Amino acid sequence: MDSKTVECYLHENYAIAGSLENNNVLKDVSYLKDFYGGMKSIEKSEIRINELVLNKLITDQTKLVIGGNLDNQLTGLSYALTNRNVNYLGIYSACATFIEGLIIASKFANKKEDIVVITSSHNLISERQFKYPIEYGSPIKAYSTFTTTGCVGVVVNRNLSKYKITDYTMGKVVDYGIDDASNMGAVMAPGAFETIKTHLKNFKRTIDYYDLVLTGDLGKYGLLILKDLLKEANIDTDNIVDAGSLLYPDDYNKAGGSGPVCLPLILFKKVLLERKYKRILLVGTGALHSKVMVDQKLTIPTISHAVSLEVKS
Amino acid sequence: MNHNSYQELVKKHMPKRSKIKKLFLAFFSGGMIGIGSQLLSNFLVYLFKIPIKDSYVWVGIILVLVTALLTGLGFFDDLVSFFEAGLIIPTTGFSHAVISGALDGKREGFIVGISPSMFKLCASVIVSGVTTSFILSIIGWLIYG
Repeated sequence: MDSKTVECYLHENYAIAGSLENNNVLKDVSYLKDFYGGMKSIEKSEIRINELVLNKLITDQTKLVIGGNLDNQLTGLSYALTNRNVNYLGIYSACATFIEGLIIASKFANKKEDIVVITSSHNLISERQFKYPIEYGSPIKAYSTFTTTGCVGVVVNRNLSKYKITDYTMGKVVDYGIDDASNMGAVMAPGAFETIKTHLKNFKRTIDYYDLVLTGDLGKYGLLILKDLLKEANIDTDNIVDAGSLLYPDDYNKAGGSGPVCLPLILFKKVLLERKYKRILLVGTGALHSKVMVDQKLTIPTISHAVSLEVKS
Repeated sequence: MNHNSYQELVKKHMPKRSKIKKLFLAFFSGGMIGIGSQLLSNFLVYLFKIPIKDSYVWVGIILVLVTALLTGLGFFDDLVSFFEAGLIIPTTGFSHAVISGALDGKREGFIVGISPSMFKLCASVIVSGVTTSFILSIIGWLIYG
């Protein structure tokens, strides 16, 4: 059940990122001027970036939009879809939302209709929802990651293109007993580990089969933990790269980016534009906590989904 | 892998920040606020010829006002993240918590937004302050009559 071979293709994509992400890592991205992007509140600004991406990607052929973000009740996307003539499936697996979207889209994909998979995140909204009021200065831990602001969407169908999704592995909810909500890397590394292990086992592959294994948002320290876990299971770790830890190379106060938008942003606007890799394993990792659960001192469970992407030159 | 050995593994990879540097920063910033307040108090006494006791009240009011202003202008959270306890422990921390909460709720209006979120962070400080003073006053009453 958990792994399956599929056939669908990724077509045009569009990305918007916040002002702090404008640091020469990404190419071909529109940037916001500030966190508000000309809107009156941060919530409206997330709705706005979703609208802008949907405007670029939705055509008459589009029948279904699959997506989600970190907002309570997924308002960032649902409000942006109001009065558009498309069906909508709202999904949530925190920072693994984009990969979950691709897995669901691969089930519905056909040759006549387009599916848009979209995800977004907003630093200040996450700050407000998961931590303290925005203007409240709390001590920042060196290992905590920084929620990336942005929105990325991609069109999926069964017509041939350069980027083919060949198979996927659905994740299971894993909890290794970490309750520190500022240490997302340590929370999510076990999820990624279990999913990579299951994926390789189910398809009888070694990790060398992939030119690149791109994890979502473990950050610098989470990546080290994942590599240690894989080494213990005798899996090679040379080709594993974390999208989040690539985002803020010059900022030593951040252990990397996080948020569902991190992985697609780095994938479409950096990795695929470099044209170096033929086979890529995308591993989205999400921490399934809320502030209430953290305040009640419960440990944080995590989910991770994986999708194989083949690039034809 | 069991939870304990995983926690060991996590601990091994976590970056370590020097506690001595943190202590020094907090000592320095908290101490500077203390020195500044004393100078301000002396200055007020000298300039306006008010009693020393009154000048302490004025210093408190000025500290709260300046913190509120800096929080509203968006500087103070960066200062707190850097100096940590040195700015949280004095009355500046309380003012900062109230104003940052108020700013957080401004889009939801006065009744459901600003008013309740002003006390989101500092309500526990107020409650424990009131409770402690209540208990202490009862003890004082029992002892001294």
